[in-house]
Amino acid sequence: MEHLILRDLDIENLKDISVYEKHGGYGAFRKAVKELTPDQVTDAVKASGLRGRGGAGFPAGVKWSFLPKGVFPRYLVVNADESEPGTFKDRQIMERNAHQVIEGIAIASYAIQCNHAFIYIRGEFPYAADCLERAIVEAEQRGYLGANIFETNYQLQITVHRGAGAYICGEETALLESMEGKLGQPRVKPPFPASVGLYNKPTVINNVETLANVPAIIERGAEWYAKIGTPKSTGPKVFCLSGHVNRPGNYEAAFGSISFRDLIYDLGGGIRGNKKLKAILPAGASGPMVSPLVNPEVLDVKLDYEALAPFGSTLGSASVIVMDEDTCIVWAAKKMTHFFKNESCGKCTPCREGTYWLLKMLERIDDGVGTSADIDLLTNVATQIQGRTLCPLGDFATSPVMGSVKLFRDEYERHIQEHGCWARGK
Amino acid sequence: MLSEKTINDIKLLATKYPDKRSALMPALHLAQKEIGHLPDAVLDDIAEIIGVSRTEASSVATFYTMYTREPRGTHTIFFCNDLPCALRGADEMLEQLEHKLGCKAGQTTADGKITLREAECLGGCDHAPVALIDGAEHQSDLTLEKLDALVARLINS
Repeated sequence: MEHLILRDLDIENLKDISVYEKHGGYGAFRKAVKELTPDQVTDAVKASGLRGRGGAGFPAGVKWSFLPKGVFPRYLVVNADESEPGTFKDRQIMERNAHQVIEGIAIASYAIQCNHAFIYIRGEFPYAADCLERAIVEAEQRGYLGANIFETNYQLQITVHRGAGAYICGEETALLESMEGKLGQPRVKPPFPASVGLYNKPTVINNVETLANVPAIIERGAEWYAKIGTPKSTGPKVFCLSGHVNRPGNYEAAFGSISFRDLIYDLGGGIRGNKKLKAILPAGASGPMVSPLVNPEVLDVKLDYEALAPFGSTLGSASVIVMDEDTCIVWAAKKMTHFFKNESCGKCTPCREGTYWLLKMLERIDDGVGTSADIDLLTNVATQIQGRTLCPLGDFATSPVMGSVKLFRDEYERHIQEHGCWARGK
Repeated sequence: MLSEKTINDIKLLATKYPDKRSALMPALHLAQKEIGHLPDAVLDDIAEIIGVSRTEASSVATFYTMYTREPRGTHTIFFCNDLPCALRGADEMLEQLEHKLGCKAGQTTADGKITLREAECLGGCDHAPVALIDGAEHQSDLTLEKLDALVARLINS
């Protein structure tokens, strides 16, 4: 299958601007600026059905159309703060196909009439940031960025802004705070960024992968794009596969075209050491786990945004972490909770204190000194975090506990009865 | 404490954003690159250029994990042991690394050469386990042999 996003796998040296141009690069941006009005571009992206690839799946074109009329300046901020455990797609796209990201940003900026776009990239991605900066300089030299683009009045500059280590900045309002030189902590919504965003101006925030889809939509048309995938989840998706598989990596497939079985056993080469599959985290640490041991049919569901709802989970950004039969589920839940406890920004009490206590209890159970009351206490504390925080991190932080207790309560009970983990020694 | 060049670079940064406060984080990156950490005197210089108080500069410098207010070793190893890396042996590897360096994660070796830090997911799970060296260089598909070679290189550089 032809790749639309991971085109670096089909075309050598795609990150060089001359190679990118040879394969049609910046043709879509030219078409948008020369032949279409900004509203026509937005309408095309709406009609394509493109949904945000950062995890929430909100329709991108609809987001662009929310900006209040006549209020300028307005900003596009690209969310390149890819920090979800198990997610590494945007990094590959930026490092190996940076011009497609820049072209997507340019088209989106034109659509919302923004003249200064920012890429907020996590500080731990220095090479990806360098690749973007190089691509921007090349695009400026070719006249794709700067003043009078394609001999029109449209002008655009793009600035790469490096973060400094904070998962929370992937949340869009925390990202805006961080862009403004403040602590990365979420804002109260409403007002939404569309009306009061960066520097209190109308702002659109899009994920890297989302924007990398835009050039093809403009070049080949919304109708063509909408035929890829399913009616509700259109286009291709990059699946990040990691954990106990033989071939971890990024795999691009149309929504609704592959199942976990295809992804893990076909593309991923199966479980390491021919072991049995125990559990899958479809959305990194942020979505509840699913298990073929409990629901055998979960392996054969064709994956799109809605496919995992019947199993109490979500596809999120499709960061698929695979765990084999030897994995201790209590340990895995503890690992993920440790992450959330460290990454809670501290603004909302239920998340700040709740993640601390969830971790304490998981450590207690894992250390073999838990009591049977601890399991219910865990879910009780998790429930008290849910829905009581400004941003979704609080809800995310409960996923490891809620998902694992629901599917593997017997493993928790055995840890308590046997005073520790039988699998890893006590 | 900051060199004239860095101060000029920070002043230039402050003109590149619609609001100069946005230059605070890039300025902290530049200063830490030059000095190695962010002591009060450096924060005062930056705060004055950016137009914030030292407290504000300090709160930002302590919120984000890549900045350090205290001196670190000549080199810093950010070692990831989040779930995807841990599923591929990161916990055991971190233990070995601590043993080899003679210090725990969060500490610096006795000779001041290497600071070891636990990192949150570094976005390299397809090549786990991974580490980030000096905030600049990703090391992936780590093995004990690779770690030995890495530590030897850092000690000798």
